[in-house]
Amino acid sequence: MTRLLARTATYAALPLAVLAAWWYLTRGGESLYFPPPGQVFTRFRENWLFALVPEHVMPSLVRMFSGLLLSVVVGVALGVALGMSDLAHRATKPWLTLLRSTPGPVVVVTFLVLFGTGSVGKVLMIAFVSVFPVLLNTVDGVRAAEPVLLDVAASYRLSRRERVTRIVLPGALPQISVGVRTSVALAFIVMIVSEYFGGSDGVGYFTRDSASGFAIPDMWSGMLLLGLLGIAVNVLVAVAQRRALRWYAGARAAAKS
Amino acid sequence: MLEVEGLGHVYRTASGEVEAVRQVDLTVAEGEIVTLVGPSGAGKTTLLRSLAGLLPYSRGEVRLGGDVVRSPHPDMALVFQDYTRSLMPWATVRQNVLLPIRKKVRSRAERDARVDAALAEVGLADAADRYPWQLSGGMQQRVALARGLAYRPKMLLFDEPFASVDAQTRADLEDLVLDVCAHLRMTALFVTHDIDEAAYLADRIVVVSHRPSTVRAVLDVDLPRPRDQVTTKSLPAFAELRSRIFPLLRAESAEATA
Ligand SMILES: Nc1ncnc2c1ncn2[C@@H]1O[C@H](COP(=O)(O)OP(=O)(O)OP(=O)(O)O)[C@@H](O)[C@H]1O
Ligand SMILES: [Mg+2]
Repeated sequence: MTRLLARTATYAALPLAVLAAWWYLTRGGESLYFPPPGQVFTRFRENWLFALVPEHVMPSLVRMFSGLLLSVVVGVALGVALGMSDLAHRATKPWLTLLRSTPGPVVVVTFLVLFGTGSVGKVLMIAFVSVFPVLLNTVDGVRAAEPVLLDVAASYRLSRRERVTRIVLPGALPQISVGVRTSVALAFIVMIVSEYFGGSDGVGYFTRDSASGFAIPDMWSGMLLLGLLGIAVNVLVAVAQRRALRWYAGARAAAKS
Repeated sequence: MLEVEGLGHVYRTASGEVEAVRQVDLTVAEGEIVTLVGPSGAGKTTLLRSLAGLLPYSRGEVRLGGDVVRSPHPDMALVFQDYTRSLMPWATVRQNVLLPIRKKVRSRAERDARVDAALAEVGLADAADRYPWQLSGGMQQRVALARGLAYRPKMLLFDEPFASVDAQTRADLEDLVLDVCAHLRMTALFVTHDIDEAAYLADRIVVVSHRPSTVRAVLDVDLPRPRDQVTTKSLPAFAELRSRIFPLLRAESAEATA
């Protein structure tokens, strides 16, 4: 308990210091762009607890998680297929690496042109960008499958399907989850960026719209919310991962001792 | 039950050909325990993987119960050399033992009964819900054996299964193999590089040469069963057997270094 308190205090120290500095520097209240924190908090409460949640927060999160889910499903399925065939792997690897490094602005413009500013285009944009970390890590994880376990699978005459679901996928899971972590971070960024460039809802849209209307406290409340959402999403994924990979932590600890 | 004729295998690698097995002929009769002893790097694993249908061998023929073996045979199970890598770390002991029969056995009750029986056979009934990495090396190799037993093969192949456990555990595991084979009337081919182990377990010992392996000698063992670590190993016949195998392996390494 005291350890948890100490840890929380360590993490909270920096934000609290920034907050104190912010409060001190804006105590006169005369700057248009840097309102005092109290004003931002009031606006945060008015906007996000919970008046505008259905209108802006929900669409953002739904699009982000849809895009993420799509990228994980496609990335893992395609990754297993490519990882299990030497030829497919060799034929696609350079192109995947190339596609992955498509500059962000090119992706955004292309998807806007192809799919417009609706939700479908945004979900696809999120999925496209975040599929690569999952895909490439799945390929690596599948190719690194333990050869002895593949022998075990063959000697007990497991079907191809069982080999994939019982041996290859679980073995690749630690590596896949590394990819998913990166994908989550990317999906979050692309979610915001996609809303900056068009549409009529979402936290990113709200923040940009407030900025262009000089509703500066609103803009700051949006930024604050995005920051908090980012932290929340990361914590959520980290917890889910720790649960799914408990065996991995245990096996690694056992191998070290 | 198992017949091997003129088996040979050559690995083709980027840097050329490696002849691992040159010419091996051997048979294992039903209910018999045959041990195969040879120096390290002799090609024993290559031979065993060929017999198990895991390796498309270059020459010769392997038959099990009359069937030509080119791919894994349903009557054969293999216990691997490296137990830390042959068990799934993400699965419990029960799930590991269940692996070979998930699809093979339709009824869930029957599957559970088989797993329980196999775990009881190796003395691990209490460890079913633990993970392999929570167990000692000896216990992990018991799990691997239980998994083979749950598959209900007619023949078990062992690839130096006890090479990396301590002496006491190794003796216990040897006795376990003898008990299990006697109890289930199992046929077994047991590969080892340990002379004592080869003699202690066997009805017959096949001595193979350094790479590329050929059969140097086949020795019949007429030590009485049931065997015992202390009494069997102090019999004059046991010492005599050791002294026959020892020079065969030694002459081998002398030739290899010459
Ligand atoms: N996949 C492979 N490709 C090329 N050469 C191989 C391959 N596997 C084994 N070899 C070579 O074949 C020879 C026999 O190897 P093998 O593993 O069968 O011997 P072993 O008797 O089982 O050895 P150990 O006592 O170390 O287990 C070795 O010289 C090894 O380097
Ligand atoms: Mg070997």
